[in-house]
Parts: sequence; structure tokens; C-alpha cells
Amino acid sequence: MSKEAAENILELAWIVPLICLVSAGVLTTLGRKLKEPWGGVVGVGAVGVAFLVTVVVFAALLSLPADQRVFEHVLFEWIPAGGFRIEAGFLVDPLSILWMLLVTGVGFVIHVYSLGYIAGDERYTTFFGQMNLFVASMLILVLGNNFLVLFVGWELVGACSYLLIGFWFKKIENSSAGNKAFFANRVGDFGFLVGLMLIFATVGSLDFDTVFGAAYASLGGGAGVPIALGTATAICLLLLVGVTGKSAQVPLYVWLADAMAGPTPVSALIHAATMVTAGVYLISRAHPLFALSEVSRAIVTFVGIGTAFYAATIALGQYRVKRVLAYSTISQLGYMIAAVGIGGAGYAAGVFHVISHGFFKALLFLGAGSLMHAMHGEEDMRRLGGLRKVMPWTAGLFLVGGLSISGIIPFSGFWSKDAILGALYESPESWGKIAWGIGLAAAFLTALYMFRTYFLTFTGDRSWGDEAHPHESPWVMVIPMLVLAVGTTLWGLADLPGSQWLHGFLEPTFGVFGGEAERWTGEVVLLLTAGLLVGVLGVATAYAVWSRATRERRISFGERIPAGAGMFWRKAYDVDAALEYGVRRPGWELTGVLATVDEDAIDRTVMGIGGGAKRAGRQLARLQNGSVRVYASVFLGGVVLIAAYVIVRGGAGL
Amino acid sequence: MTLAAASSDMPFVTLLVFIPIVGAVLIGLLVPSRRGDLAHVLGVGVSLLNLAIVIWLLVAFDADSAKFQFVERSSWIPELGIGYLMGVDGVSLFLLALTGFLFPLMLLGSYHIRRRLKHFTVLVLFLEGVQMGVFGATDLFLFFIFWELTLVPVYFLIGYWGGPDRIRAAVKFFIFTALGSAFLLAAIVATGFLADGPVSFNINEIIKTDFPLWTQRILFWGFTIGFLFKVPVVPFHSWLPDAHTEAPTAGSADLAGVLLKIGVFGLIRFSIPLFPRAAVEAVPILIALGVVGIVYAALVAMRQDDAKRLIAYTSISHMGFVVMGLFALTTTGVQGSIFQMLAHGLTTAGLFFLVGFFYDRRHSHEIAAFGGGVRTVMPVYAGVFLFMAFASAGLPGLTNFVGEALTLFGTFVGHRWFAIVAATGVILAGIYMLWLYQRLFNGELTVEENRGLKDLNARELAVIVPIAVLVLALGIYPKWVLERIEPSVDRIVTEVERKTEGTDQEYVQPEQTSPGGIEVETAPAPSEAEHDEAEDEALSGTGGEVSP
Repeated sequence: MSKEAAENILELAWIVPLICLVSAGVLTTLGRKLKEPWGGVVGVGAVGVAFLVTVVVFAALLSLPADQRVFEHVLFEWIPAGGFRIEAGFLVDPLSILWMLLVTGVGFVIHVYSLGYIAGDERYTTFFGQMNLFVASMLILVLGNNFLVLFVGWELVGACSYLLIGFWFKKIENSSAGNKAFFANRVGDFGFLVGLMLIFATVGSLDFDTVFGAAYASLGGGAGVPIALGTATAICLLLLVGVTGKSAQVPLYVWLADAMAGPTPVSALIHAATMVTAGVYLISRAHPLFALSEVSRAIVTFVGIGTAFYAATIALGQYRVKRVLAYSTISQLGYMIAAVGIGGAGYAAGVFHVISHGFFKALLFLGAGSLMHAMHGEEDMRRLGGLRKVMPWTAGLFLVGGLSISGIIPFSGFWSKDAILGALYESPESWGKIAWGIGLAAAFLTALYMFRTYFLTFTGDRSWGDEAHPHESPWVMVIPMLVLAVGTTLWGLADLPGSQWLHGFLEPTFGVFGGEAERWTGEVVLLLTAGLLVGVLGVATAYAVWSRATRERRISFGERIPAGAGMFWRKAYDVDAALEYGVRRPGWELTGVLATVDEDAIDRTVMGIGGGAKRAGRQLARLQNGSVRVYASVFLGGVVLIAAYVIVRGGAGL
Repeated sequence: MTLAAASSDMPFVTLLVFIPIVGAVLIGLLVPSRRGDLAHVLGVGVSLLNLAIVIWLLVAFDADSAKFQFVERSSWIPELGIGYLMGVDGVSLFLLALTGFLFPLMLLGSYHIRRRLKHFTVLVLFLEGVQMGVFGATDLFLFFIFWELTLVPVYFLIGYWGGPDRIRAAVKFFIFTALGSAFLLAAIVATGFLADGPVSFNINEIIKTDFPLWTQRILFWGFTIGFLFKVPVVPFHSWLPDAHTEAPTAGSADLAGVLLKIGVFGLIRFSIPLFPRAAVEAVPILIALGVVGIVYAALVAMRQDDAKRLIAYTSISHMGFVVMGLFALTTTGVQGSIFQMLAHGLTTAGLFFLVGFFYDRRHSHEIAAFGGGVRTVMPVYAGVFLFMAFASAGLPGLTNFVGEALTLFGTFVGHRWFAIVAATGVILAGIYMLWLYQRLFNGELTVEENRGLKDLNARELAVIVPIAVLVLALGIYPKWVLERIEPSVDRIVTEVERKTEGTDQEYVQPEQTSPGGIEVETAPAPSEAEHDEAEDEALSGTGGEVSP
């Protein structure tokens, strides 16, 4: 492909979100008028076409020499006001194209799966419309060439998440879960927004080019306005607030488990594979800013790795399959955040794991969905068991996802998680090894909770009642899972130590910040072995404890741990209660006091001015004799009286 | 271009003021009272004619000029220096447009009114005319007359066509506004007499006077308190929730869409440019009032049991952004402020229309009357409502986001902490809006009376869809509006800076470390501006409003 041809194609990258946006608009407007399956066909078709176009764009980008693979294009001036001038422009580079492929590729697979999952729902067409809107929003997020366009996508994906969590709105819990997600995200977005204001006040622009130029200048390279260390740290930490909201990190992770109230394809696409990785994208994109402040990178790393460990301990105590997967997602996102927090080789490792996780976590969620589809929504492991025999495909594919997330060779999870652990261990930062230690412990927990889930669900005695008639899901649901399983089996090849295609591909984005490519050394082999060992140990422990669980043992699991501490742990450390008593109730009281004060103020004011008069006529009369007389000029009084006369008498006319 | 040339002499403002007023008089005299339906149809026609004039004005407006265009000058009461002076600039253009856009919808949405529909129509048309006059007047006294005249129709709209507690609400509205007007009238008279030269109320003359600081302070606050009652800014706000709750739908839409804007318009047109030193001095107080209003009203909104009342409080909260951005006194902030007025006018009026649609069916706007689950019977209604709720909560891609972002970014440069506190309004707006939505629409349908409700009909869609389209269009392509606002705003900001130079730079200069700060590349080259001005002066003989 010639250079011009490639650039002509890249210039049209904005068509990808537009396709999904138009389709979303059509589907939402038509709603029920478009009958099943046509709504699904349009919705799936749009994402499919978007994926194909993305592949073409990807090919065009690849055809360019590596150092020219950063392509920016401005569509129109969006908000010009004084010195604040924002363009609607997009940026295609190795980082954004990978996310585009992930979003449209995994998005397409999950859309296909939804054809089976959501079949028969009365809001079938609307579902696909909202899913399409999400894909479009996510594409806007990753394509923006400045922080404000990124923020547009950032907020829009939050809105779509809200819509889809509460998709089955008749159940008020679903609606509340949607609200909770939106509120937690808004808290994060507040931090993000203040961060943007600080960037603008410091650099005078929100364009990536200008802002990162300033960051390079501060590091001593190139022209631009240097950013002071304190300011850089403040900016990075404010962005981190946004990241903790969107990517469900401590302390704003509280919404993600409840978000499982949405239909399972939503959980797979939005709350596992794509939207929640937006925080990883933001930090990767803003890496020159993070390079300025070691403090902020340390904080990001420990927020990430701390979340990875913390959420894994919660996942181990859950009974509902989707809840396990939700906390597992929080935990895995923690790894990614830690990787891009520590930087260097961590950037490529983080992105590697984002896509790896996109495959295996989407697969696990679709497996859970297939299970719920077969069991009429039942997902409590205490009432499952032995399902391997009735749904072999689902069980086998779930097992592949489980092996991958547990870090078992040769699946992609093994390679990508170890890339992160390796980046932490080998980082020049002194605190990297502490983070590595925590990460390794969390990897053990990961294998443990994942195989606890697998064994309790698919092996051992069946614990479901006779009223359930589980069956294998239709092919339209199994084949997408198969595709994802193939993905997670092969994706590891993208960044094997020694070759590291991905690391090289991302070089135009990360440049000098991206660290050295990894080679086969004794240390690398040792690290990989350590990672594999904890994984195997976790699987083996799970096998020993849970693989032959009987019906009685499943039911009694709750009581085997001392009641107080056990319940505290199983209820995810009761953070929801803390929120209720620490945030919601005080807020409720505060607004109550203010509302009362406001009402009283109204009464007092009116009493004060209007006296005790009860009737409007008397009040008006008082007005004209009273203190406001200065104002009440003759002509106005006249107009009022005439108009009053006409209105009250309903006379012949004005 | 030929259109622009042909329309350069059009007395646009006079047309906009008198088409509805003459229409009101004719309908009042010629249509019999029992033919309310006929009066209503004619009223819609008259307001649509005015909308056509507004569109013509938008097309004919010269986007690059900072000056008043389509200037009309006649002497009226020469002994007192009162003139019939009208003109349009970037500040007033879109407020005129918003007025022209909303009134046909207000009339259209009121077809169900049974009581004296003819008189209702006449009053609404009269209101449209005088509000156009408020935005078009460039003579202080003329402005005041129009300002006062808005009081009459609104008073009767609330007091006659309002809800159960309408009399109290109407009187309260009257008292508060009248109180504000007292300050305003006193300040206007004093300004006219104290300005240099013969007594004049022409703002283009008055602006040349550099009042002594104490005079500025007194006059500034006289004007400003009058305007703050109208906005309303938080300690002066308590008339608004009552007025909104009791007003008929059209009244609420007008209050939120247009009437509140005349307060802010007064601040931009008079308080700040006429008394710049006092204005700059007052910046911290006024920004603080704006920010307190954002947070306070948002918190109070959460505890309302009446959907209309809740939206009224959100309206106060959003107007806080307008006041804050305005007194940031940066081009970005002031542009954001004007844009936010437009955005707020559309979304809040839209929300009031939507609540009104439910009221027409169930004769209540209590949240309990919805009782949840209304989405199951009125899916289209619920969808449009969610769209407006998201717009009101500042979702990007929709118009309010642009206004809020500009006011925030414009304020942050000089007043960090205020902007940060104001940004918490982003969180709060999300909470009260989605929580309201949940209580109205989600869950199972619990109120039996709601079971048979019909979804939006064609007429209702004709009211709400144009608003929704604009909300989306202005969110995606606000440039067309912003670039028309910018020259006039830039001129005001630059003038304020010039006149306050050396007195109190802190409030008009961007932070030291911001090389690409707000002021950069906004000022037109002075020589060019002067040239334009001289040329225009020579052509029209009106005189520039500012001596260079």
C-alpha cells in the first residue's frame, strides 16, 4: 500500500464510531417498531462492519514505516471560546488502534452472542441500540486527539453503562445498581475534570500534542512550557481519581459488583472487556505526564496492585458466579493499572494484559451467561455443580478461560500476567519488588478463586433441584465463546519474551518511556517459573478442597468459618454498609436540613414583606401603600389594573 | 450576501417586539372570547412569524462584528434624554433567538387550556414582545420599561392559570421582582443624571463616563441587586420554586427559558461595562454567590417531592454556573455564561414541558403521582425525558456540557478553588437527575391510575422534538453560536480590563504560569477594530459605544 493510500484510509478512521452511532440512533428511535431479529441484525451488522473497517485501518497503519505510525486528523473546530479552543480531532496510533480492534472485535463477538441471549426480550431492538451506542462512545474515547474529546467518550460510556445495567428497569434493584455505577463514576469524573482544568491552566491547551510537549520540555527535551513537579503530581493524582472510578479501583470500585445486575453480555463487554480498561488507556496515553512525577507513579502502582490483591480476597468468598467474575475483573484491572503505573516495560505489559483479559474475561462472562441461560438465571454455586455433563462445551470453554486467568501455560493470561509481574520486578524503581511480591500473592489467590468457581459449578454432585432442566446453549452463543477461547490461546504469541512484537509495535506511542524489550535470560525464566508455580499451586489447592463437593457441603460452606469474621468477609468487607452509614445517610440528613431551612426562609420572607395578609387583593393593596411605592410608578399600576379588569371580567376584549 | 445587504437596514428588534404585541392587540380586539381555539391558532401563527424574523436575523447578523447591529434610533422623550434605541450584538442575539424559538412551542404546548384560552394567548404574545424589547433595548429607560412590562403577563399567567396555590406564588413573584426593580429604577435614574454631559440614558453615551469609584460602587450594586433577584442568585431565590410549581407549563417554560435570563443579561449589558471598577472589585463576592448557589440549590433539589419544584431548584443551580462564569471576566467564562443561558433555557424549558405533559394527563406533578414504572406505559416519553435529564446533568455531546465546561475552565484560570467547588455540581447534578428519573420511571408501575396513560401524541412531539434536536446540535456543533458571541464578549472583557488597569489586576489576568492562558489570541487587532468602528460611525452616524 502506498503512503498516500494508507493516509487516505487513516483519514477515514472516524467512520468507525460513526457507523455505530448511526446504527444506535436508528435502533433507539425505531425501538419496538423494528421487530426481532431485524434489530439484532442491524446492531450486529454495524459492529461487524466497524470491525472490518478497523482492520483495514490497522492494515493501513501497519503499512507505514514504524516512525510514521502516529496519525492525527482534525474534523472540525468544536468549542472555540476565547483562549479555550478545542477541536474535534482524532488520533490513530498503535495504542488507539489496539483498543479499536479490541472494542470492535470483542464487541462483535459479544453482539453475536447477544442474538441468542437477549432473544425474546421485549426491548430486543433497544438493547442492540444501546450496545451500539456504547461501542461508538468507547471508540470516541480512544480516538480523541485531546483530553476533552477523550472526556466526552469517558462520560458517554458511563451513561451507556448506566443504561445497560438498568436495562431490565422493572426490577428496582437493577435501576439502583445503574445509579450507583453512574454516581461512583461521576465522583471519579469530578477528579478528572479538575485535572483537566489544571492541565489547561498550566499548559494553555488540552491537545495531547501540546500537553505532552510541555511534559517533554520539563524532562529537558524539546520546546514547550515546563510543568512544575508539584503541578504534575497534582494533575496525575487527579487523573487517577478518574481512573479509580472508571476502572473500578480502590476506593471507587464499589459499583462494579452491583453492575452485574445488567444482562450478561453487558457485563462481558462493558464491565469486563472494554469500558473498565479506559483507565489503563488514560494512563498509557498520558504517560509523559506520569513520567514527570515518581510519587504519582508509585501511588498508581500501589493503588493498582493493592486493588489486585484486595479484590482477589473478596472474589474468594463469593457464591454467585458473576460476582466472582466482577471482583476478579477489579483484581485484574489492578494488575493493569499497576503495570502502567510503574511504566517502562510495564506500558506494553499493561496493554498486553488488557487484550488478553478482554479475551479470557469476556469468555468467562459469556460462560457464566450460558450457564444462567440454561439454569433460568441461577448462578449461586451452592445450587449448581456437576454441570460439565450437561453442558460440555460451556464447561470446556470456561475451563480454558479459567486456565488463562490463572496463569497456566500456554494461554495468554500466563504470558501477559507474567509480563506485568516481570515489569514490576525488573523496574529500576526501588518499590517495584514490593509490588511484585503482592502481585504474586494475588496470582495465587486468582487461581484459587477461579478454580473454586469452576469446580463448584461444573464438577462434583449436582445441587440443583428437579425443576431445573439445564441444557447446552445454542450455537449462536457457543461459537462466540469458541472464538474468544481461540483468542486467549493464541494471543500470548503477540508478546513472547525474545520476540515481543507488541512491545515493538507500541514503540511509536511510548518511545523512550516504553523500556527495553525483554530477552530470554535466567532471571526471566525464573520469574516465569515462579508465576506458573503459584498458578499451579492455586489450581491444585482448589482441586483438593472443592472438586468433589457434595450437595450438603456446598450448602454448609457458609457456616464453616466463624460467623462474624466470615460474614464480614463474604459480604465484601461490608463496604456497602459503610457507604450507607458514612455517606448516604449523612448526605440525606444534610439535604434534609437544607431543604427545611429553605422552606422556612421562604415563609419568613413572605411573612416579613407581605405581612399576615392572606388574600392576594389585600397584599396587592398593601404593596401600593407600602414600602415598595418608590417603584410602583403610575403607568405600571394602570396597566396592571386594566389587565386585571379584562382578565377577571372576561370582557369583550383588550 | 445579497440577503445580508438587503437586511442591513431592517428594524429587526422593532419587528420582533411589535409583531407579537400588535398580534396580541388584534387577536384581543377581533376574536370573540368563546373562540379561544381560533385565538390560539392565530397566536401560534404570530409567534411563528416572529420565529421567521428571528431566523432571518440570525442569518443577517454579521458574525465578525463586536458592535451593535441593526441599530434603531429615535428620540422619544428628548427633555429627559430618553431615546428609542435598539440594537443587536453577540450578547443579545441568541437570547432574542431563544425567545423567538420557545414562544411558538409554549403556545403549541398549551392547546389543552380550557379557561379563557384567548386571554392566555394574548398575554403570552404580549410577553414575547416585551421580552424581545428587554434584550433589544440599548437605552436604560427603555430597557426598564420593557423589564417592568414582563411582570404583568407573568403575574397573570401564574395567578390565573396556575396551580392550587397560585395566588400566593404570584404575589410572591410580584413582591420579589418589584423589590429588585426598586433598586434598579433608582440606579437607572441616578446613572442617567450622574453621567457626563446632558442627561441621557443611552448606554453608548453613558459608557464613556468614568464614574468615581464610590459612585460606581453604589450604582453597580443598585443595578446588580435588582438583577440578582431576577436570576435568581441564592439568597434572593425563594420566589422561584413557588412560581415554577404553580405556574402553568408555558409560564414555567418562559420563566426558565427566558425570564431568568434577563437578570444575567442586565449584568452583562449594564452592571459590568458601565461600572467596570466596581464590578472587578465585586468579583469574589459574585463568584462566591454563584458557586454557593450551584451547590446549595443542588442539595436542596434532592429533597423535593414535586418534580416541578425539583427542576426549579436545578434551574437555580445551573444559573449559578452562569453567574460564576460571567464574573470570571474572561472571554471564555463570559462566552460560557451566555452559552449556558441558552443551553439552560432549552433543557430546563424542555424538562418543564415534559413534566407538563404528565400534568395534562394526571393533573399532578408530584413525584408520588408518577410512583415509578411510568416507562412501561409511556416508553417514548420516558426516553425523551431521560435525554433531557442527561442534558441537564451535563452529559458531553449535549448542549449543557459546553456551557458548563466553558464557565468552569474560564473560572479556574483565575479562581481555582471556586471552580473546584463548582465542579462538585457535576456529581450532584448526576445524582438528583438520575434519582428523579428512577422515582418517576423505573421499577414496577405502582400507581393504578397510570396504567392507561397514552404515550406522547403528535402535538407533544412537535413541542419537544425541536428542543431535543437543538440540544443535540448545539452540543456537537456549538461553534456557530460561540463565534457569534465571541467578538462582543471579547470587547466587553477587553474594555473592562483596559478601564481597570492598575487598579486590581488580580481578577482579570490569568495566572502567571499560564502562557497560553485565556486572554491569548482573543483580542482583535486594535487598529482594525478602531477602523471598523470609525467606518461604521461614518456610515450610520450612531457613534461607537466606546471611545477608543
